[in-house]
Amino acid sequence: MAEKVLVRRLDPTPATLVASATRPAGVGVEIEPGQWLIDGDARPLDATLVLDMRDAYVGFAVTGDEADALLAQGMALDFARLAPDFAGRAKLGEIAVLIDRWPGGWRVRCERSYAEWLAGWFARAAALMSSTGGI
Amino acid sequence: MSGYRLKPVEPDARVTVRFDGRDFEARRGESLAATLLAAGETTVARSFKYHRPRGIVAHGAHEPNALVQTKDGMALATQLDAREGLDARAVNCWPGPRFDLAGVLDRFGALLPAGFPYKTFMGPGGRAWPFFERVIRALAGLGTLPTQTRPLRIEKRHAHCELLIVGAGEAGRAAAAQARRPGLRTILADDGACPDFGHVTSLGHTTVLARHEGGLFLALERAPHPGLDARLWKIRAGAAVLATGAVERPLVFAGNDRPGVMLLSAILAYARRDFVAAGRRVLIACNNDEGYDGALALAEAGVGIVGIVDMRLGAGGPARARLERSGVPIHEGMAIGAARGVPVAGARLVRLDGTDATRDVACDAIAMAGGHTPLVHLHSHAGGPLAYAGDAAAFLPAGAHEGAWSAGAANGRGLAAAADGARAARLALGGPAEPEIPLSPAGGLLARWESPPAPGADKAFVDFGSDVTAADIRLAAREGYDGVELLKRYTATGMALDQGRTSNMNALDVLARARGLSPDRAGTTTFRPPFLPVPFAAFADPGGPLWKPSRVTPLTAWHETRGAKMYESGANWRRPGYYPRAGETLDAACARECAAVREAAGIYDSSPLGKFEVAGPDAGAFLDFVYATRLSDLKPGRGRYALQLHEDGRLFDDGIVFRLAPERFFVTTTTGNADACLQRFSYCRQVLRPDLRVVVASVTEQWADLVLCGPRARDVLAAAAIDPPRDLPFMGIAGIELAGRPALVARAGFTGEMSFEMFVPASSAPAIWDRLLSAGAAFGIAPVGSEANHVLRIEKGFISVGHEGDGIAGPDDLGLGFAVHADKPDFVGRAALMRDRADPAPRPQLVGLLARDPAFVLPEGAAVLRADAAVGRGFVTASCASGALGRSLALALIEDGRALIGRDVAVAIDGGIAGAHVVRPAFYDPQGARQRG
Repeated sequence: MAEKVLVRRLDPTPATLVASATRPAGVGVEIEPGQWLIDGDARPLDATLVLDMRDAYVGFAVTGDEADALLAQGMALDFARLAPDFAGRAKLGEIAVLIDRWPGGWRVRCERSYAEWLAGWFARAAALMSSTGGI
Repeated sequence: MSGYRLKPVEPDARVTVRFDGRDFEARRGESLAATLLAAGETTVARSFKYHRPRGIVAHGAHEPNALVQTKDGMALATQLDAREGLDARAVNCWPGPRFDLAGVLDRFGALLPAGFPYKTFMGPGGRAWPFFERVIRALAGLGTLPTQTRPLRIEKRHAHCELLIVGAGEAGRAAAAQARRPGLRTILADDGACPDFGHVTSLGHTTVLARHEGGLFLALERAPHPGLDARLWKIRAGAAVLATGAVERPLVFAGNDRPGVMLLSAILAYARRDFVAAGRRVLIACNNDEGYDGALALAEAGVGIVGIVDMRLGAGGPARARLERSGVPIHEGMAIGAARGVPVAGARLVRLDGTDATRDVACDAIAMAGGHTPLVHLHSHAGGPLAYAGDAAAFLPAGAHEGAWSAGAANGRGLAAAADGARAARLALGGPAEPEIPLSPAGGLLARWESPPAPGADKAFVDFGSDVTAADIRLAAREGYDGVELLKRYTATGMALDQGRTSNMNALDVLARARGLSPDRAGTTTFRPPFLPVPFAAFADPGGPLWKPSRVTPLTAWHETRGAKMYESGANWRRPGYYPRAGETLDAACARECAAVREAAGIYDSSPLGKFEVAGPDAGAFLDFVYATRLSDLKPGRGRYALQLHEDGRLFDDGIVFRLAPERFFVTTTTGNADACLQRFSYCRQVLRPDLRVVVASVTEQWADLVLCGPRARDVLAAAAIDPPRDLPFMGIAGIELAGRPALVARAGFTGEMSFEMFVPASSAPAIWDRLLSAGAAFGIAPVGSEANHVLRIEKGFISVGHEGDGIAGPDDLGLGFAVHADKPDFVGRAALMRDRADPAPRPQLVGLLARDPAFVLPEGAAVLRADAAVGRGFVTASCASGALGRSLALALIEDGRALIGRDVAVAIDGGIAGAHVVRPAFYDPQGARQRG
């Protein structure tokens, strides 16, 4: 039986900030016009700036049938209408996060300093939830 | 009034509730109001100002009187569900609602007119007011805050839909029936039960509280499931149908507030939904045909009708003949001049043709049918315009507004609600234009609500909740408070429990007539969210560690483990204030940490500092534009103290900018302004200087910042086998490898001692921190908190943007003119700074203060006065006890402060004045020899 919702803190993995005139290849979240955070440590040749950012963000996987409903407690995104390859910046509760697709749900990344607070937020949100589905 | 049940309570639905210490039999789920009415318990409240006895007026959320107290707080008796164990009591009365000692105030009504606190109790000299203010405050207020300690469990949830329908009445249901397009998401929300349509999401027991711009609605769902008290929905709707209905309008006559006087629609609702009759002999007063229709409906439900008082002549529609045939007296061309008895036992009727004839009618309940006030609040919340419709005698939405279509009674089409609701839904979903449905106000409405008073009559109220009478409105108009917004504030009409839903139109009518205006010229007040009262908990966090975001550094766990007292600092960060040893006070710990820095070595966690990389061929030119300081001529490997200014030329932020490579800079900003700096960098890059080839990236979170400082700092580094270049100069920076990863080491700090600032990857920070502490143990190293940092920087006269950067002080005022390169052609704030420099007006200037008593620490924020007069000249920005100098020190911003150097000033302290001597703002090593090394 599928979990209603599961929030799991992800192990640190390499992440690289790439500033470039064109979108770099691979999975990436545009964090500012012309700047992407990409998984891995690729160094595109045409980049203006490449920075190791593996320590800057902490990721959480939010998966399960009620992943959208859990996130809807703090995010104004219209999850049902997001593109299949959606990835972007958004606000969760009071903080800025990066969100992109993840197998079975979403990956939410916050700045490292907010990770403990966000973990607490997820725990409380899960505790408040008992109805099924979002709107 | 002698209410009773039209149908006995089913045994399996029987519960016992308690009101004011007495038990009542109730039907589970009915409102407490229904229970009390059924028991003939007429007087359930006392009024706000006069403490007059009051009863239930309405059914549902629009009740203006019956506020009761429970252990969970206050609630309307009309909205409180009866359940076993419910215990409520009346508010604003003692010992109870039927006899209230403060009821004597009603006899002094002449002393309590509109605006009475200002004109009755403020005598010449104002000596009496402090006494009366205490008395008035003691008498004011209604219930008490909840006694429960359990925080409400309220979930917040965002939702999206293409169509939101507010109200599941006739219009709302018809609108929902139209919303059958595949893929269409429709939400139907209603304050009460909500029908299940299958193709819509029904939110029952959900009050839509507010409509904001962009189709954002706030709605509160009550008790969505066991264990959850409420859910606050934030609904973004592509379009909306506002089928919010209307509230019946009361009539204005003497004693219209007495227990037993109710809205006809409420009496009908109690009879039909709760099987409760409000009385055995109901007298109906009306100005439209609904009085007759309602009489028939009540009679059919088994409620006795003793007559109809109609302001009109020859009206009543088809229902009139049926009522007359059944012997119900019709008193036409008449109105109630006064209600008699408490609770109501009868009414004196007066003729409206100017004759003096009166007629007395015995009754135990009076039903008021004055037409309807459309609930246009949601339409108005987001700025939807209203227009007065004379036929309906009401303000109605002037068409659709930003995707929201009003429908049904809320749109003045109560008698054609279904058709109007369906039309609104079709239009909201993008259908072609359709002709408007004609207005359908209450049949034969006569635009008259106020009766001429019977001789010797009682007060006639327009607002029961705020105790505002028609006479108050006229008095306010005479006294010049004759605009609706002024009137509202002067009399408080519309500001009580029901927020004017039952009172506003009558208040406006009285005002308009007093001024000789038509109601549309008098205007209406502004409707503001929320539509109904909302628990604060719906918006606020319940508290605890999640009440607001907090940020931790990679070393926070270390600090906490070592017993550091953690402080909240800028931008949600938590930082160590000091590290007390066993039995050590703050002052002692701070002095010990300062001494370690001045005499040996200290280390502090400066990770929250804002950190940015700026790169590109035009990076130097970009920084020259953003900063007042020239940075494009920095050599690689060197840094410079730099200032950012506001557009008005005043200090915005400071920090050190390092050049790592010809096209790459490393920028530090203050902690509190880090986010604002990022926004400013982005704005300058994208909007003001898009011509420059530059990128800016925040690396605040990637890099931890460990600062090692003190005369033994270099020894500690050596012992820790950390080897920055031996020739690294003051304000130099170099890349090194630490714990196997690249890092940066800079010769900079904030304490005035030899300092090494190490920017290391966040995940490496704990290991490097431990390494430095272990290596430094032999040299007397101490971890240092923000308390000690504060002292050390005051000793040096270094500014802190959070203290000395008060938004008024400019760089010259703070003695930082050296960091402004005004010869640059342009930078943010330059024009305003040049204007400041050309202006001879005196400016606040940063100086040092030495208290006359060296043991006395001047309070931060204290006013600095001229020595010869109690005139403010400035204030103390920062102050401390300096162990290094053996005395107290302070920094202050004082008007023309530099001219006062060498002179004395006075500082206002609690209970008197402290003398202080003005000096230059650099107390310790003013030449900076120690930090340069």
